[in-house]
Amino acid sequence: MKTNVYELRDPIHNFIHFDPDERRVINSRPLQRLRYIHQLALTYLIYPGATHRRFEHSLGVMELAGRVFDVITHPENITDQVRRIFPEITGQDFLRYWRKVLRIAALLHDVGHPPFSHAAEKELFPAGFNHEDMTRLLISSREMRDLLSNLTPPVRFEDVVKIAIGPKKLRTTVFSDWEAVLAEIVTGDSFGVDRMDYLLRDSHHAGVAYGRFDHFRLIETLRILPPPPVPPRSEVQQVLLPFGTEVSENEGSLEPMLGILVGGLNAAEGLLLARYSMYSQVYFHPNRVVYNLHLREFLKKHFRSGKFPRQAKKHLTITDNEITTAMLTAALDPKNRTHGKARRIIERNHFKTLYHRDPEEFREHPAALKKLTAALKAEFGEENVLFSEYIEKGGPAEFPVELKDGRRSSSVAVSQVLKSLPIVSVGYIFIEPTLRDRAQQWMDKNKARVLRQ
Amino acid sequence: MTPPSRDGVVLAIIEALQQAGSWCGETHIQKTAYFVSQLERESLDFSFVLYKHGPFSFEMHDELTVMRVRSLLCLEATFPYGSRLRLTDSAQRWTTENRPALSRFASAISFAAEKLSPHGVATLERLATALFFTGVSQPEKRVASILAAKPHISREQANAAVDEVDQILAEWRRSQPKKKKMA
Repeated sequence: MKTNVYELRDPIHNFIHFDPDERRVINSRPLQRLRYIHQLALTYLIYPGATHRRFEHSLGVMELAGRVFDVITHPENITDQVRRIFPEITGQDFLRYWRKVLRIAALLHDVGHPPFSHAAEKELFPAGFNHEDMTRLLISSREMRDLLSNLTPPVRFEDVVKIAIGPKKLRTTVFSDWEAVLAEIVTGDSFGVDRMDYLLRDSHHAGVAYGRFDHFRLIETLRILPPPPVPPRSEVQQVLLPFGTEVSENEGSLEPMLGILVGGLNAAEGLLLARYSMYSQVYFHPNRVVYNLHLREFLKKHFRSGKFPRQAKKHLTITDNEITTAMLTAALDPKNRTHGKARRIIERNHFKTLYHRDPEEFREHPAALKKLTAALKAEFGEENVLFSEYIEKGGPAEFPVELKDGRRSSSVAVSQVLKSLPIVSVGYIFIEPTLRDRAQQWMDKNKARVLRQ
Repeated sequence: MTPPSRDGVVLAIIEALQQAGSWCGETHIQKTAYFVSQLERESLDFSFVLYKHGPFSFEMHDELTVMRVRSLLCLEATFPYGSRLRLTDSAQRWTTENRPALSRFASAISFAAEKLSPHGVATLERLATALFFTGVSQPEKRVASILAAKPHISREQANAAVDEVDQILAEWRRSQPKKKKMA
C-alpha cells in the first residue's frame, strides 16, 4: 500500500514525520545540498562533535513549525478576537494550505546558505546580497516553482518566500497580519522555531548543555495574542484588560502576534537564557571567531573573483566539501596561492586572542576595539592583526503573556529574568601566534594611552 | 556641517517624546522617527517596512539595543504594560553636546513628538500606517490599503486615521518656509 506518512530518526526530535509532498521538497536539489553544509562552519575544530549539517536542522525546523501551527490554530486555543481578525482560521482548506506553506518554508529557509554557513557570508557575497536573497532566488527558480505548483493543494512560491525569509529581510514586500504571524513562527526573535531547533541541535552536537530548554512546554503554551497593553497618557492609570474584550482607542493595539500563556514563561526564560549562553560560550567562542576570520581569508583567495557566486545554478554546485578538499590540497602544496591561508586552518595554527573587550570598557570607550586594532596594526603589521566585533541584534525579549485570570501583560513586566537578560556584546583582537608575548607587553604598556587618544 | 549620527537622531527623538509626556516604548519611538523622516523627506539612515504596528525599522530596532549596551538607554517595565526606554545620564550629556548637529531635524522632531506623544500604540499604529500609504492618491484606496495590511483596524478607524494624517501634514506644511513642501 502506498504510504502517506514518512518518518526519519532524529537525535533531537526522535522522529520527524512528513508527507509525500514534503518528501518531494526534501528530495529537491537545494535541500539535498544542505547535507554538505556544516551548521556551525569550522566549529568542529573546537567542539569536535559539532559536525552536523543544515539538512537535519531544516528537517527539525519543519517538524517544530508544524507543531507550533497545530497548537496556535487548535480551535480551543483561538479566541473570538483572533477569529474576528482572521475569519478564515476555522476553514479546513485555509488551515491545510497554510500549514503546508509553513512547513515547506521551514524546510527551505536555509537553502541560500553559502559554504560554511554564516562564516564568510558578509564578506564573500556581493555587497547588498545575503543568504536570504539566495534563498529567495532558489525558491523562485523554475525548478522549485514547478515543484511547488504541482503539490496538493498547489503552493504559491511567493507565499513560501515570505514565510521562509520574513519581513526583516524582505524589505519591499508587504506582509499581512496572518503572514507576519506565520513568518514569526519560523524566523521570530522570541519563539522562532529556527532558533529553537538550532539551540537544541547545536548544544547536542557540541556536547554542551547550555542550549537545552523545555521546548515541549513552550510550544504547548504558544498562542496568537494582541501585544501587551500600553497606558494611554498617564503612567499611573491602570489598564487591566481581560483578553478578548473590545478595547477602546488608547488601550492598545489588536495586532496579533505570538505570545504565551503564563504557564510557559519559565520555558521561554529557558530558551532565551539558552540563547545567551550559547552565544557567549559556543557561537562567539574566540577560537571559533578567529577560525571564521581565517576561513574568510582563505575563501577570498580561493575564488578568483574573491566572492561567492550569486547565480542560483552555480550556488547549487558549491558546498563545504569542495572547499575542504581545496583547503587540504592547498595546505600540502607550497606553490598554491592559498597555501598559507589553508595551512593556518588545516594545521590549526590560528591567531591568538590578545584582547577581549569587557562591557564596562565598551561603555567608557565605545571605539576601543577600533583604536587598539589600528595601533596594533601600525606596530606589528596589517597582516598580523585581526579583529571581530558583534553586538546582539533585535530588541528586548518582549512578547505578550496571558495571565491565569485572562489579563495580558508584557513578558518583561512579569519576568525579572527576561527584563534583565544580558545583551550579547563581544569584541576581540587576535594576533599572529609568534607575536603574542611581544604584543601583550605592548598592550600592557600602551593600551591606556591609545584609549585616551 | 557634520551630519547627525543615527544614534544622535534617535536620542533626540526619545528626549522630545519624554519631554512631551509620552510613554516612550519602542513603538512610540519608531513611529515618531517615521513621521520625522516623512516630514523632512530624509531617510534618517533607517529604512521602514510595514511590519509591527505599521512602518517599522529593523535597523532602529537593532540600534536601540546597541544603545542599551552602551548604557545610553535603559529598559523599564511596569506591570502589566509593555516596556519603555529612558535616557540615561550619559545619553542626556550626549544629546546636549550634539544638539548643533541635530538642528536640521529639530523642528520636525519637536512637531512629531508634540503630535504623537499623547497617543497609545493603537493610535500610533493607525496614524503611521495611514502615513505609509499617503502616496496612494485616493482616500478610499488608502483606507483599503490600510485594511488589507492591518485587518484588525476597523474601516471607521482607518478613515479617521487618513483624515488626521492629512491634517497633520497640512499643519506641518503651513508651519514651514515656502520652499519646503511635502510631496
